[in-house]
Amino acid sequence: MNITPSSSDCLDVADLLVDYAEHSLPPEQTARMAAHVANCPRCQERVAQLQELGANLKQPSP
Amino acid sequence: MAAVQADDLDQVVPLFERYQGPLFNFLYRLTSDYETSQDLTQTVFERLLKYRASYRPGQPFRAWAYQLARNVHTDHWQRNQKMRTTDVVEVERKGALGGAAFRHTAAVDREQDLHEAMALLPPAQHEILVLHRFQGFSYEEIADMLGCTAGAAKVKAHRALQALRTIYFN
Repeated sequence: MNITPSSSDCLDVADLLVDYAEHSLPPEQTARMAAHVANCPRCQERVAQLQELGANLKQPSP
Repeated sequence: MAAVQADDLDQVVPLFERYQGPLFNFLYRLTSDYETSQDLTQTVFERLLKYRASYRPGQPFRAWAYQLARNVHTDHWQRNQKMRTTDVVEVERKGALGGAAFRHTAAVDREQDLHEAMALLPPAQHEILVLHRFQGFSYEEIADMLGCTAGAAKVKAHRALQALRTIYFN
């Protein structure tokens, strides 16, 4: 049974979200984040946005 | 740089040729203004000559030059702070960066919108994103500039990216 995470769960993982979106977490933390994100539409959206932003920030300089 | 410090001022030419472009890009990312960035880049090299005695031999030159550029930009920003605040308030009043209007603009010119969204960040967050994402500085190098630990620099950079996400997508 899936349990919808609370806002405090999102707060707990907030500082790891960028590393998770950029695949730079160690395996144990990746698994913890994946478990949260799988059940949290808000964090799924945040991860997708961070990945899009990360790709845009790699554009060439002006 | 050691030669420049020893008053061999001709040696500033290769430094200028090598760093003028990256420093201009750095300042352009922060100011979004071509002519201002050219002027500020010029000021960086003027200060490089003026303060050459403060360069410590063996110190990474790139980080030292960017520290000069950061100071030049801070001075410029402080001079223009009032005008900048007025501009931001005006943009927010018009709603040009909010909701549907922003999403539409983003589809038309994502690069420009990203630039504008970054300009709405607090200066310290704007700067750390430019240093890390566009200028390629490591968290260790940024930590040296900011006088904090690499871990703290990373947290600041991540929070800046989260703040940018909120501005860009909302």
